[in-house]
Amino acid sequence: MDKETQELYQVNDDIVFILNTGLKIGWKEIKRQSINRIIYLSKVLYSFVNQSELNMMGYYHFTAKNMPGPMSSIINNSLVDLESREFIINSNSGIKLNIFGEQLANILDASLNPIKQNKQKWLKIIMLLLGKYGENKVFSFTINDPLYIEKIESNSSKEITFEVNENKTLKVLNNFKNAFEESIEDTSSISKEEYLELYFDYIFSQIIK
Amino acid sequence: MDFNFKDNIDFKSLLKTKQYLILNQTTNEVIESQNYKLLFANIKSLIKNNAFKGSKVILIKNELLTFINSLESEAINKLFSSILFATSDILEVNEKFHIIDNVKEELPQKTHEARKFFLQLSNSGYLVFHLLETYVNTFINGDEFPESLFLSLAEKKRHILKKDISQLGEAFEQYREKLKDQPVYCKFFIPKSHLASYHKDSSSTEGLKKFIINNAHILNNKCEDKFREDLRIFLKENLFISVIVKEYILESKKRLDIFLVDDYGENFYLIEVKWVGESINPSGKKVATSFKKKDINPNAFFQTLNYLDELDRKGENIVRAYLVVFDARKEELGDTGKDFDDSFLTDTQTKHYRKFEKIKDLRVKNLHPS
Repeated sequence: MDKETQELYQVNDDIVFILNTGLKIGWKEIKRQSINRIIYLSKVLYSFVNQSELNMMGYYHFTAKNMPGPMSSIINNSLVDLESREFIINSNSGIKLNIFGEQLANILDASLNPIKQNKQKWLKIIMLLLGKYGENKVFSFTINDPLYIEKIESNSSKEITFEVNENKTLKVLNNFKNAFEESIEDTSSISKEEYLELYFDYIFSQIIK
Repeated sequence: MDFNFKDNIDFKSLLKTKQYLILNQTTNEVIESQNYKLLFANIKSLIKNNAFKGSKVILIKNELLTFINSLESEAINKLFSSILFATSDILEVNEKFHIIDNVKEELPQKTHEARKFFLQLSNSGYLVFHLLETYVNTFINGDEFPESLFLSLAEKKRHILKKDISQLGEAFEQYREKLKDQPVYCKFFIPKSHLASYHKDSSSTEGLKKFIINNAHILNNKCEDKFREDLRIFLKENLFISVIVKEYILESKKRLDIFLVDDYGENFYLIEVKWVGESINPSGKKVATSFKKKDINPNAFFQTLNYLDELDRKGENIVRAYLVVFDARKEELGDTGKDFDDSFLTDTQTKHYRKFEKIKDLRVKNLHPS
């Protein structure tokens, strides 16, 4: 199997996983843009929580060409592929899973693939984080993402780089974390994942009003 | 948004005041658990999927949280369809979102009473989810994790209601009224002290008092930034919009003044801000810029329509483009958009004309210079 097909299948697996997790948090359908944005956030936030520099979502390449948010062509290709196989239904209100039971379980199965397991674990973390606010808010997260804003403001249509050194989001998150460490007496109870949650809470003025 | 949190003193002092709440959230085992997150996300979806309105309490026994993982995807929506859900104020559900008990009892009308009541329930072994329109306030083991400022519908309704983006027109009207307040309009004009020094520099033969009256309409230098920012902040505070990009740069490097995006990120609105009147130069010694009706009609009309075309070619879904003109002219000269001759529009401009709207001039008058 060539690399391109292999990557497409990986994306297919990710999207099925996202749609299935969506169902568990009450999202009956997920819009195409939201799928792009969930994967974008998973990629951009990965290095903040995970020490490893290697981003396991490396096969996604995003551009900030248009205002409706970052887009990756491989996601759109995968959606076409999944629709042609009737694994998903694409309607005006969003994309819906159309496979069930054993067939679904086989696609989701990661028991023999530790990388897939880790990726599913990470995507679930991101989706549970977003679940707190609802699908309609997913847009706002990416549009408020520092790395994305930087690309839009420089009017760059080039691919968004996710290099650890150049990742503006990572810098902002670390800056956010430092502010906590300097202001709150003991921050040992706050995990990196919780910093992400607090950061999103801040963007939406929830806890830290 | 200011992304420099570390050097932001205001942000840091905010963290200090919220320390208890933050640490509470990050040390609470229930909140940290995946099952709680699943449960919470489902309740949030119930509100969104079914346009929930009003105020209601959902209770679930603490010990049932362990079983939430096996939740059926449609369970939460089925709960909403139940007539018991619609008619009850407090419901107890099990791990499958089946109603096992329900009470019709008006919830406390005052926030402090509601808080006391919910905390009591949370101390009796229940996870308490208080649904208040789009907010979910949670109470766990005597601790509160609120999303909304108010815990009662009556109090929330008294709070200023933000407008939907479709009510942008009403928001402009509200803003027009606001511009009549002296603390609002005075920031656009040069202050009295400045007028006095300007009087000196201009070697006018008029007396100071008369000079001030005759020149009170002179705007500050770079007043376009002040107008744009004032309107932008007003809209942000009064409309449900996700983001307003201050200056979204077009490929042609022209600058869009205000760019609004609805909550779903699907529909875009642009606002071009212009002004007519006179403004002082950077050194503050003479009138440097003056814009007249022709700068608006037809020039700004054409300019805005050209932006629309450029964005259209980029594939953006622009629902409306508004031309907003601040009228700070000395005399009452009527609306700058009056008698616009659309026969001069090019074919491309005509194509976008129906998406274009000239808002009736926003009059700014320095009635009482400060």
